[in-house]
Amino acid sequence: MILRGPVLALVLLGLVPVAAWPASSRTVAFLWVLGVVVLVVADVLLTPSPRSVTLSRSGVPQVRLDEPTTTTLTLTGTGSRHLRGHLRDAWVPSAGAAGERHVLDLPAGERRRVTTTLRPTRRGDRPAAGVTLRVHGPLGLAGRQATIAVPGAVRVLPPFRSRRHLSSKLEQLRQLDGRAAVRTRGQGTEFDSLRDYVEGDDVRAIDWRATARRQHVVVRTWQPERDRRLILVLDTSRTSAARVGDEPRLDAAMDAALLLAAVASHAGDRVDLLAGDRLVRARVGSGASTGTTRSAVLHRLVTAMAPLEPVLVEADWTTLAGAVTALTRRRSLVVLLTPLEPAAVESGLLPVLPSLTAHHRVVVASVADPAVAALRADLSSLEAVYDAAAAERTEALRRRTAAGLGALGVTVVDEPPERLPVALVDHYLALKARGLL
Amino acid sequence: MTRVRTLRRWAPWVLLALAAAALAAVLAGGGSGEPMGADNPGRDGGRALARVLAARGVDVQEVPGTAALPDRVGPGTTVLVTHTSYLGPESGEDLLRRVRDADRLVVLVPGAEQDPGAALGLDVTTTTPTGARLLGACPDPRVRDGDEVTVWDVQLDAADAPEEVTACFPPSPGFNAGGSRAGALLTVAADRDRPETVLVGFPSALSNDAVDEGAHAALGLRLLGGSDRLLWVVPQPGDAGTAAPQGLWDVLPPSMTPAVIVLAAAALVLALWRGRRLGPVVVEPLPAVVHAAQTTRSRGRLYREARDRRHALAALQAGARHRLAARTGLPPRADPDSLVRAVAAATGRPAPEVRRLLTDPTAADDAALVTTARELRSLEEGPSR
Repeated sequence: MILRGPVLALVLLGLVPVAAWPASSRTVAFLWVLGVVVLVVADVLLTPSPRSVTLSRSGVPQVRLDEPTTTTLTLTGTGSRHLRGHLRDAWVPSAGAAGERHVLDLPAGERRRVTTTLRPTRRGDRPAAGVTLRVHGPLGLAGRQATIAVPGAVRVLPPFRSRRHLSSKLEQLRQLDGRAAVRTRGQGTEFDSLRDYVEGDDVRAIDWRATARRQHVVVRTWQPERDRRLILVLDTSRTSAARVGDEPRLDAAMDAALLLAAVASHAGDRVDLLAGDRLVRARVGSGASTGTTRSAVLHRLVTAMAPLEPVLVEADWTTLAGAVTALTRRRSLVVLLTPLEPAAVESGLLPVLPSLTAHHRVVVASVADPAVAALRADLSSLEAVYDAAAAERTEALRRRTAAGLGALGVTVVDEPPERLPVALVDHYLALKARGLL
Repeated sequence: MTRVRTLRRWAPWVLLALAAAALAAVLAGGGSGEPMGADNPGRDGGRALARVLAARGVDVQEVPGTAALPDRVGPGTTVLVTHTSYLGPESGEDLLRRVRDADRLVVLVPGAEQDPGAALGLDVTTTTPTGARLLGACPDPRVRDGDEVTVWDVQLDAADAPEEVTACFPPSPGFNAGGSRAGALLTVAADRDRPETVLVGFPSALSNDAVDEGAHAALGLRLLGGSDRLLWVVPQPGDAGTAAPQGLWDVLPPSMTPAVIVLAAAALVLALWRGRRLGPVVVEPLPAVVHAAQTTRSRGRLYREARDRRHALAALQAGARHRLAARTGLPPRADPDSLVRAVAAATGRPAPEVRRLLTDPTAADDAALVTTARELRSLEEGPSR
């Protein structure tokens, strides 16, 4: 049951008869209030039930973080009465619902749609919280209200902010085509085609037999290796929960992983994604179905990443390494996206690494915190000097850990969030150019 | 979880109820707040006097209002009325009728705005006093020579009264010599309509606050302890008229009550109308916000709290050595001597100073630490800055 504004006016109107008949004013007042109560009760009883509506929601919309989307709710009147009132399509705050309140005007047996705009502020599946229907009574004094659970969610994908670097990196990848012939023929390079010699080409690339058959000099071109395997391992353990800037390290790591996956799938490599901490939380492979297009691969990765959240447990690298080994026996490039936290790495990752490096080329990509660098640079006061000393100590420990990883043959890419995707892709392109995959 | 939520929901209300109960207990346990009430322990109360009188064998009974007095108060009784604010001519007459046979009627006059004369049918005027202290100076047997009152409230003047009046505690010695009858204590002799009536202009002197000064206690005991029984009347608002108001409804003007009912109903409607939300508040679990640099800041705070200048400076120097080694082309783990030589050669600074900056982690005080850290930074960044 709800009351509406006119009831207040109606009650206050009772002051007029009270003033008009001062002799029996107390009786008048009581009767007036009683009359209003009777009217309100009658109005509530005459109100059609808000549950005489069937609600259904359109499918789960997918949207990148910080981009708007809409969700549509379909109302079907199943009762015999025309419903008027208000409607609220409630979402959790992080779904960023705007304009979630709608006017309800639903004739009996008809169907209406209401659309709510969502601009989510956090990644993952953001659920709807229920639909509240408020139906007004025929007298306009009162009404009935009910909240009905209508399942629904919006899947918020990682923003992939580094995709602005994608075209330049793909350009670099194209320039690799044909240049790999600088190296001696053999493993790691694949014959592509013959073309006319142009000035600047390596003379060692000239194919003399073809040149003899034709009237002009012909060189062989090489394309970079294809169908190599790239395995991205996302660490979703407690160290990934720490925030760098305004978002968790996990989100920055996802950004880097997405750019690398996009470039690698363009280069024709197979990309697999593993994410986990104590358990493997996500496992996506691109190679299984050969017909998948590159954008489909990227989409599957993004969809798999969307619901991942950092968990406040320690990573179990034995499990993760086992999952990597189970994926393939072929030599692969394994990119571990895990923060370079000395204690966690030394106790968890280091003991497991030799088994990985024995079969694969391993790269550790870590999200560095620019705040530490800022602390190190600031010597303005005594407190700042102590903080700078602490930052130096932190960096020294990270360097030591990186050196320990390097001794095992692992490359470490430790960059702040905005530079990490580019640095990681550059490292990948460098490996590819040298045929080291 | 549910239990915690229930607790959270009800705990504030339970606490509020407990606080209200405690407040009510404090208010109820403190006795009446009436000035000169027999059970009022405050500064302006009369409990001290009442207790002493009871200890002396006087039967002290508190009476709520003159209307609550017995119809006919018998002899052997003194009646005390603590003020006359609620006494009109009619109720004063009623009071006199009830106490006609009593030994004595003692009326306290706590302020010049009171008019005990009108209430009791006496021609008495009240004025605000000027003097500081008063001496007895009168033939009343209850007042002895040398009795002194240090606090008083009202000067009473019965110059034109036809009754036989004795005035004590005149405003100045010899004031009444010329036939005027003024003072802080007037005694009107008993006649057909009234018992002996004493008007007291110094109730403050009998209050808990000042009863132990001067001759106050003795005066109080002599005035009130003359009989076996003392009826201690604290006047009530209902004494003034016959239709005494019993509650809030009677005090309000009759035409206002229904309006208040309507307005209260309107306030209730307003609360119900505006208080109902369109659906429940939506809650969601939020992620923990932990900044990655938090451990570094905490380490810095530890250095600071411990005043660990040695470790702090050593960390700064190790970092500087690492970067300078890279810049001078030495391996990262080059020994300090070769690094000092290389840096001294590159910067042109004397080797001992470079050695001190890069390898000596001692700092005498905080200022030295800051200075050394900045020198180290300028060495690292080169002389151009």
